Amino acid sequence: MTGDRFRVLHLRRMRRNRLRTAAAVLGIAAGVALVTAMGSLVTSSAATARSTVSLLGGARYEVVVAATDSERAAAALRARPGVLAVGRYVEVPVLVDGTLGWLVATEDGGRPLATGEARALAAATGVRTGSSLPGAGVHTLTTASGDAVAVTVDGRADHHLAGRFGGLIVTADLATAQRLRGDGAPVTLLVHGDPDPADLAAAVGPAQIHRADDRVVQARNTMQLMFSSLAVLGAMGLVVGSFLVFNTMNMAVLDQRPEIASLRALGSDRRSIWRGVLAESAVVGGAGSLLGVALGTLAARGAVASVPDAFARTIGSPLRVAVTPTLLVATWMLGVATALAASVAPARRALRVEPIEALRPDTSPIGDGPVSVHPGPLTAGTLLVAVAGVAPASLLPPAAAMGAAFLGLLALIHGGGPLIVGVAGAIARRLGPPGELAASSLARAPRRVWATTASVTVAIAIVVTTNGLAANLRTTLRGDLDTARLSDLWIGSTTGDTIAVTGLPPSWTGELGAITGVRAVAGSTWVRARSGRHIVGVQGVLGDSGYPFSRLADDEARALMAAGTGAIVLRQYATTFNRRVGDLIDLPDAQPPLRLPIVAISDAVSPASGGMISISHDLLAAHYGVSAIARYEVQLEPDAEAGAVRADVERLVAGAGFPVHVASGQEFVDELGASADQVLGLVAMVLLVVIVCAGVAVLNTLLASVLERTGELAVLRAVGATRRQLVRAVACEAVAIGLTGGLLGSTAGSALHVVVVRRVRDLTNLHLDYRFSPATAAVAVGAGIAIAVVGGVVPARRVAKLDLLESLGA
Amino acid sequence: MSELQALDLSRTHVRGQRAINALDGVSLTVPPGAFVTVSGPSGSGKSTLLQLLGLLDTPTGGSVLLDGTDCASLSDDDRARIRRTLLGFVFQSFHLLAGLSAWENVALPRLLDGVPLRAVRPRARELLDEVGLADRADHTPHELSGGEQQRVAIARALVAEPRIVFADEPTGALDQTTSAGVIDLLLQVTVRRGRSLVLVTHDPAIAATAGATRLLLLDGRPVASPGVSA
Repeated sequence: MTGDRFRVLHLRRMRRNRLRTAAAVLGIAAGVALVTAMGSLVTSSAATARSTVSLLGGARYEVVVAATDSERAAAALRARPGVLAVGRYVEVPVLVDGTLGWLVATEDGGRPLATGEARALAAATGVRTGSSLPGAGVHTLTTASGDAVAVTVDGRADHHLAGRFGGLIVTADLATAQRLRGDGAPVTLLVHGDPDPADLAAAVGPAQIHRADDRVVQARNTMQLMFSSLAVLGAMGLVVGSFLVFNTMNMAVLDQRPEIASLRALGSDRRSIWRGVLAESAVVGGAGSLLGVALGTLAARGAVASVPDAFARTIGSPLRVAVTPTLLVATWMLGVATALAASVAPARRALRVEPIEALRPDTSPIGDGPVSVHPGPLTAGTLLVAVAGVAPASLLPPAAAMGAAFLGLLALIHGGGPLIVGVAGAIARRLGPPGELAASSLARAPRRVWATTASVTVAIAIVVTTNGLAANLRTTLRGDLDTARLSDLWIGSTTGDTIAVTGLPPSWTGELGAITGVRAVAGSTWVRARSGRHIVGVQGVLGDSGYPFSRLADDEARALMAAGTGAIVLRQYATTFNRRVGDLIDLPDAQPPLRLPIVAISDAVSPASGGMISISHDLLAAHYGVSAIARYEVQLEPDAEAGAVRADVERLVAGAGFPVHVASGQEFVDELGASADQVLGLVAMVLLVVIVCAGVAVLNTLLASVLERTGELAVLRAVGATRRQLVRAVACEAVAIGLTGGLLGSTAGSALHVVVVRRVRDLTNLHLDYRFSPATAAVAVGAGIAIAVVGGVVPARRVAKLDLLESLGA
Repeated sequence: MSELQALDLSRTHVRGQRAINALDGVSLTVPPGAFVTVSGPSGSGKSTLLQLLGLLDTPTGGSVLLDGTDCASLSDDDRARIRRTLLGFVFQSFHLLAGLSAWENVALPRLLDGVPLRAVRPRARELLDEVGLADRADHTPHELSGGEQQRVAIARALVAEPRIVFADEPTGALDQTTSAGVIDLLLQVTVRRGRSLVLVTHDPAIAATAGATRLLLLDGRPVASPGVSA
């Protein structure tokens, strides 16, 4: 196809039908934007991890050893074949005047480092801060060891580093960093060169060796844990867009039938006609995808911001927004491919236009062709949904099962076309005389009605599924968090929705316990550890903590954990590493090595891809070098005056030298719940975009219906129909489509909800409870009608403004 | 120059259980430079014959020979190429593309042949000048009268320098005065320049135009009558 031919025959027509073209472009744009935004969660986490990897200066392996053993281990590693250099590395969260930052330091180990960032970091002197932290001057710096010390910040970090971690970086020379972090913590040794990991393992033991690149995989794992289901739903938004493209191209082919016949008569071959339709749709897909990646890039900031801090922190440093060229190209191509796939059927229709049609005096279309029952897709759809619902997770991975369920829905929609069109027509006929008019219009364009109703059905199904899943997640998370009410006051350097990784002074245990009215003091501290390709959270528990991770276990298991003779693990850990109660586990990164039996498996939500292990705080201090408490909990005597105790606690923490947050049990539950609400905000964004897409689909169809029938509508006006009657007929079409889509979508969505809840349970190991909400289903049906009515406004206004004489002339 | 032959041509349409013979055993020769009129009442098979001769449709019996080659053996793409390069068409409803100007409509067949528009533009304008529409070249079809649109369609039929032009009721949508002008123009740009013209009409007066070889059809069969070939 020549450029001239495309410009003259296709581009001009697209310009003439601006609204229709714009609707298709918008449909694809919205879908691509969703996929881009969802994809940015994964690329941002990976990029953040990569950014950290670049600080490792090209090191191949990270080896975690006890501080007391670091000199011996480093020497042993250097002696192994293939090892070029071994340097130490520190990476630890700190508070700078109450703002959370990341202190990093490294050394070159006697060889030039591979990246500019690492070289700059190795050359760092004194203490310097990134662009988002306080600059030169004396500031209070609080570390996981719980020490709040006055530190002189010498100025901004090197330009290679100042913007790292969103400007929340703190650089220091290695000696200062180690001193600030606390000397007891395990040491990370960076191994450069290309040694055999087995050789390294012989020197230090296999459990302590990690590939530096694993950080990227771990980051992806963590994000995918929570967001893969949203990514599937985002992709479904693209399906709604594809129905819009189908509709647009189908209408275009229908309108152009006489023109295509003329072109065929004048000598255009079938291949050129086919290419023309596909090229048109490629342009629509290309433009829509371009707009989509632009919007998605803008939305990525919001998507990344909606990641709860608890998840972001497991990656190791603040998430930075990164929309990679690969993601943009991939989503752009996905959009184009979707548009092309959606226009294959219309293109095939165009292929079937015979040149002799050009010789017929009146070649105006009388309908857009029948829709047929397709037994194959109907059977395949039923099977896919059934398999997705019942297949065990060992045979069908959760994400694949969700994908299969949605594919099944699409196959059912494809195969059951006549049913969809028939229901819409039947509903219209029940709406009185205007409905009869609407029904005749619907019967005339079954393909268009099918595609539009399918758009609404898919959109409503997504709404019902997503909303139901979100409600179930919320109920489950909130239910878990109820254990937090068992503690009356929560004290930490951050609010509950942020993991408190910086320590509070250990001395507070006694001081809090001495306050009148306090029955018991509990607390927790976390460290990140790495086990293979997963991040595992290790929680050190002091006393009877109200955190659900250990509190959901029975009394006997908690007693064993408190005594240091057992570990309570989350279901996520047990599933990921195939462990059962009674199994002995080696705690990741523990120095010296620590082996404990699993005494209970808890069903709480895991923020880390590898799950979480709860052990006694004494063991955490002994094996991870962290003796401070990240968050204290205070439990009151039954007759204590809560307000007075809180006032005493606030007076105590005011002397910390950095901001300390005190919350009641209920306030803390609400803060923890804010993480869930953040995710629900993301869900709401997805739903809004999908609903808008469906609205545009209805507008597209009804507008085409009105434009196509201008002459007929004028005749109706000429024989006495009022403007209001015609507007009502258009409204009836909209209501019939909306109600059909609402009913079918609600039914399909409820079925998918069951499948998705089960699969998310498999994916996240949450004890997620499925609960059907009749209210959600009813609201979804209402939403279907609302989508259709909103989409019908513009076409109805066109009808109302119809000029009788002009239209009769047309 | 090309010679077109129809040998015992038949076309049967199947409507459900019923077979309808739209054309039944028509033979015809269109030598180079010939002017053939095909006439008959509605449903007599005129347009069906033109569709078969113009390679727009395939016969169910008999054959169409172009320069001795049986067109039944040609692929769909080959037939399209022949329509594009050797044949020209003028339709009753003009079938000009609404979004294109008059000169772009004229250039269309060459565009379909892969020739850039700017390369065809001079020839398209020249043809519009020949049909008396030089000053209307940049107008779109809806800005032209019926007669003017048909003259644009005639210019379009000529742009690829065809050897045979088919005109299907070219005056069916025009008034009598305009009709006479269009027929005169058609003859002037085809037969008088050595091209063949096959003209389908239901108007006896046009069918009997001087110099025409007449074919009268009735119920799909040729009818022998004075001055009419059968």
